[in-house]
Amino acid sequence: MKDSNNELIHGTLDLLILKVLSTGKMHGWDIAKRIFVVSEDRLMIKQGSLYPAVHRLEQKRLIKAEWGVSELGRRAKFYKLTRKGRKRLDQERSRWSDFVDSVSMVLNLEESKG
Amino acid sequence: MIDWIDELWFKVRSLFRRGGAQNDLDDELAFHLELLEREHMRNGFSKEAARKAALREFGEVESLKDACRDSWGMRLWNDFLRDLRLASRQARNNRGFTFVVLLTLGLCIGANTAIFSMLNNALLKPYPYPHSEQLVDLVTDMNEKGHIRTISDSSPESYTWYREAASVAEMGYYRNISNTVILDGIASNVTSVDISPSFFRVLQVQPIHGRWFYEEEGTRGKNRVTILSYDFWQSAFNGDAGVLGQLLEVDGGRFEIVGVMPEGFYFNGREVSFWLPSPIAEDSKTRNPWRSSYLNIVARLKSGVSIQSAQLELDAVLSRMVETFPESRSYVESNNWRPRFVDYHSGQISNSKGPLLMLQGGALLVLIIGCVNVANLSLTRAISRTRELLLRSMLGAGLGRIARMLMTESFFYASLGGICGILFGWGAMELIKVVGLYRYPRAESFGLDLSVLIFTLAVSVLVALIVGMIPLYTVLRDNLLAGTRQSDRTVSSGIASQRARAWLVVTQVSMTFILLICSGLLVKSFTKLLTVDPGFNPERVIFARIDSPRQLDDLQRKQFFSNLVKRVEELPGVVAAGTNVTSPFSNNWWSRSFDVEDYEYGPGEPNHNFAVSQVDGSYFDALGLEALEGRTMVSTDFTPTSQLVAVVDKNFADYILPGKELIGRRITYGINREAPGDTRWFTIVGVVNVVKHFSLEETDAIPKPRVYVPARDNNSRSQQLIVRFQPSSDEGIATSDGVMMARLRAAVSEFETRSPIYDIEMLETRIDSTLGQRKASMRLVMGFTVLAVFLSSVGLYGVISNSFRQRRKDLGIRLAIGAPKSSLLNMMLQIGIRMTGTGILVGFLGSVGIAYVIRSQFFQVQAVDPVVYLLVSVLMASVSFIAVYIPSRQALKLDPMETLRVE
Repeated sequence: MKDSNNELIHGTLDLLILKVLSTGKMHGWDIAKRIFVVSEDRLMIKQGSLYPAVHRLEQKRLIKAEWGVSELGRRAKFYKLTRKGRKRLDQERSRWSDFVDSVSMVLNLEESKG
Repeated sequence: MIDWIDELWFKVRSLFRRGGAQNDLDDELAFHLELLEREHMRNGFSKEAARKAALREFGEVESLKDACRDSWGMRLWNDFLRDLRLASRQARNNRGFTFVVLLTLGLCIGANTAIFSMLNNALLKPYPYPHSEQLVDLVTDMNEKGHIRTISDSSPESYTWYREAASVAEMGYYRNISNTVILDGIASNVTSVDISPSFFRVLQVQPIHGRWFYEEEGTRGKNRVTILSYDFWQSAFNGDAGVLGQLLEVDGGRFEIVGVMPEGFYFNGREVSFWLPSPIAEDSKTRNPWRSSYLNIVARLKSGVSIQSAQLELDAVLSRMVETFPESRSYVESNNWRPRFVDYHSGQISNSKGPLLMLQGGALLVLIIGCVNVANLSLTRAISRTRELLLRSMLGAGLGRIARMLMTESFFYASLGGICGILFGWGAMELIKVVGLYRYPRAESFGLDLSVLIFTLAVSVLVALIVGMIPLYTVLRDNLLAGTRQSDRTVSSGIASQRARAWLVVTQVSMTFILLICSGLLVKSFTKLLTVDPGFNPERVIFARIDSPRQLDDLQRKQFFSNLVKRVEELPGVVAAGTNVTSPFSNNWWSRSFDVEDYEYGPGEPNHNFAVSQVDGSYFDALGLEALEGRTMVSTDFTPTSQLVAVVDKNFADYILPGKELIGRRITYGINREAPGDTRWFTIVGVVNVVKHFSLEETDAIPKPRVYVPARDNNSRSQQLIVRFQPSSDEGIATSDGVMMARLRAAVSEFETRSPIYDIEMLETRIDSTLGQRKASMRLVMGFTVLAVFLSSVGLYGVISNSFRQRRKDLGIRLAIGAPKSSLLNMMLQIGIRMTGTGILVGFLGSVGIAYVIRSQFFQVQAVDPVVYLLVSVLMASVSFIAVYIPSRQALKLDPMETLRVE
């Protein structure tokens, strides 16, 4: 299932991060972990993709970072969704379901028996 | 849009806490690593193994950091900073190169900065009046025998007519007058301006104290008011705010001060002390408007009205004037007499536009030559760095990355060059001010300002692009695109760099050629101008202006000037003295219509209109004007009872009555039709040379005959005194210029304290100063040419020797297989001469075109002057030959075996 990481398209990864952060603020490690768990161990985001994506979203002001203390008592950078990010999440989400719907419609095309 | 600003703001903020961001990133990733390690330990790894596994899994930390930083959108910026650091390090390590580049760019950019500041100040800056684009001057065109003469004066009567045009929001007139003011009992001469009360409403500039003139203050009896200029207020009243209501004693009357204009307020660049409302006759509407013209008119058009539509109305006003005064119809029609609006700004700049654009063009050519030099230096350096560039490209730097690096370097040098340029330019401006080379409008505001800095910035960017692109293109083309297989020594003789060098040579030679031609043509024009005969002998002649006291009547005034002249003639050393109201180079002009006895007008021929000189004393001797025929005036001609005489000039003889006997013929201001016996006839007694009146450049395109009449009545208050003195050696009397001027000044103030003598200077100095603008342009262009010749001879040598050095291997092989040195030398010379020859050819053609464009700057010199072109061609050919010959010899001084061994 590891390979699926490579196939995660850029936009989808952003969508996943935004969605996960919509449930509350968390640091980088937790974001990856949460995606991994919720996807029933199917989607594993590696650091090499995660951090650049998170930083990109921060640059776009879709998420906001603040420093806090982690459960281990260590300084950690927590991310949370901004209002702009929430709006973007809604848009991306409906775009994604549109996309999935249309792809599945095509895939459900009946194959000819000839 | 808002998002975009928001993101940018975030980036700018993080730019300033870049160090912090860096640490944050380290912390964040370290934290992640720690959690990973912990997880491995939970899965049963030892601490050591867990750490190793975590690191392995985490991958290359630095490249991850890079990826994160890239996502900040800062990569270009970071690269730029890195390249900039590299460039400055290289600049420090390579001081010779840096020095030459900065000196070249500094001089060339500085020249452009200085000239642009002149051009901007004289031509581009708006005038300091609100909505100055609505301001227009009123002039009159007269078509005299196919030549259009434009006169800037109007009569008071016509002013009342023009003022009615509906497209005119406000119209005013002004007239510069010199006045005597008495401050603390001391008389001094100052310039004041007689204006209509509407004048300030036209300009829309508010006084800092007091008010404008009221309309009724333009009527006789109510005009005892004045508005002061800021400078005069400061010098005469120490800037006292309580000056309003005080009286200013101007000769012949006291004027109540009602206003003070702001600092720096000026109009037409005159130093003015105060303004007086000048009444014009209230019945002027009922009088024929084609009378003597002495007012300058300025108007403000209503907003949104174009000059064209205002002109239509002016034409309509003219036809109403002609209908009201039908007797003037033939005069208006035969002279094609037509009032015309001229945009104020373009009227002001019309004289300086040509010279300044020419100078800017010259500065630009110098800049191009400088850029070529620098481009050649950086090309050479880029080639010597080929190994480094190849290494970078092999280590994975893309072509784009290398291009960015080279461009950053050229921006680095260009911006430093720009800074040097501003310094040099500023120095040049100060120098120009000190030596008086700024001969254009608005000298008071000339200097460095924001728009000049923006211009310099733009020029520097342009320089960076030009200087950067050439080496970049050739290096990429020759070496990097060609691949890495070749050794760096052989690649450097690439085709592209040879071709680039050929272009540099052609550009350099042709630009220098053009500058030399223009410079040569200007110098030739100037020397021609210096040999122009003014028609009189200005050696040892003093020019001065004198105003008679205001309260004298006509007869007293005549007596005043006669006595004054007699007194001056008694001074030791004086040979002759005389007065005139329109002496040469006084800038005063008076012309009026004449009838000539027994002259038959051709069909449609307008009345004669001659320039008039009203003279007294021994004016002709003082100016050195000798009679070509007959005699000049003698003292008896000035007595009131003697016969009225006139002296005419050679134009009169040549154009009015060619080949006819003139002596004894009579002329008059106008034949009195009702009583022919009362006509005042002047009998011509002599003919004198034509004198240049305004400048030595005057041509006879519109020959204007001049008539000299004795000053007997109707004298002007303000006259010019012309005094000739003898050389020092005679009779032991010291007569140096300074001594004589001081002696004259003392004598006049002793003669009449209420009459200031002013503008006192040698007539030769006055003539010289009319050449000022031309002399200034010529000197500046010559300066550019010297700079250009210096830069291009150094540069040409550099380009050619570099280009030949690249051929060393080729030459070595040829020598090794037995080619005689002489034939190789021939080959080299041919290559060099082909390049420089092309440059000379291009320069020749370019010069013809450019000289044609700026031909109005030349005086009696054709755009294609064979002597100048021949001289410049020979000069350029010799310089080019030397620049080709020396490097060729040097290139051949090689040991073939050694050259080949190195390969």
